[in-house]
Amino acid sequence: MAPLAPSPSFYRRLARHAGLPFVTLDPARSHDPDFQSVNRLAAELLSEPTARRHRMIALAYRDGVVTVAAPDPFDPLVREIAALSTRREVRVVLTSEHDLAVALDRVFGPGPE
Amino acid sequence: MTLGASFSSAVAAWPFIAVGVALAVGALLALGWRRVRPRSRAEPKRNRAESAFTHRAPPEPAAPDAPEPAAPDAAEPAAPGAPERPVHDPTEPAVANGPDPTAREALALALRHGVPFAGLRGFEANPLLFAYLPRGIALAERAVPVLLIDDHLKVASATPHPDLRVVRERFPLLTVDVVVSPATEVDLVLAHALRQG
Repeated sequence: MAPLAPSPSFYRRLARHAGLPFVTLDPARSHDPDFQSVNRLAAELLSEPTARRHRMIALAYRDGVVTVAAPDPFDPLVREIAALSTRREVRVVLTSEHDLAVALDRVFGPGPE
Repeated sequence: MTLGASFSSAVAAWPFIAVGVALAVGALLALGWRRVRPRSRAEPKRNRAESAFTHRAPPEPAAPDAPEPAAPDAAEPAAPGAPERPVHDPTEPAVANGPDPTAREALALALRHGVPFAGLRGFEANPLLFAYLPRGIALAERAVPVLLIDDHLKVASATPHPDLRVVRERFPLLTVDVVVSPATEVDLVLAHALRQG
């Protein structure tokens, strides 16, 4: 039996405990106070294979800092690869696995199943 | 006359002889029952050195004329028809077959260090909670995330002071409460959680 997918509230609480921002990326929940749209130019700072393999997406680029959303922000590879790929300072925020998949598909097109 | 006297004395003694014979036969029967009663194949020989950790079957309801039950470890012969206590099978996990020998150690450890004790028998970890306690650290520290309530994460560990610095660094707004659990039970829960992925 596959484990249950964590709900957005689980991720929200995880982010609160970690002191990290939580963002909703699914436009279907754009009314959520945590909703943040994905800047396509920023998203393309990370290649699609890199983003899909390491489960992250670049949301924004401001003042020399790239904001990257990931459901596992504690994976040391996420921060390291994002910094190496974008050659910029990286700020990691937390999002749900579902929202990441939706955002990746919107930016890069439907991915492989 | 002599013959008549002997006959009359034999008649007078007859009740005493009959009682004596009856007592002797009764005693022989009582002793012979236990000696000659064959042991069935399904009834293993009781081991007097049976471990204290052997599973105890729940007691059967006592018959109205049954004697008082003896102490659990008393090596008394089994009453005819009474169920045999299953002996611990070493191929099975200890916790599945009776009190865990590490349970007493864990309890002693918890008492010594002033840490709460919690048994994990039958417990399955919520896989989501490994987002808080990564599986690698859980394995290394023999610790399992048990419960998340508000801002408190309860972690069961085989040791009273597992190294959970990573969890505390990653989640500064979370309070981690450690309870001591039997090591074998922690290992079983971890093994199950790893199989679940």
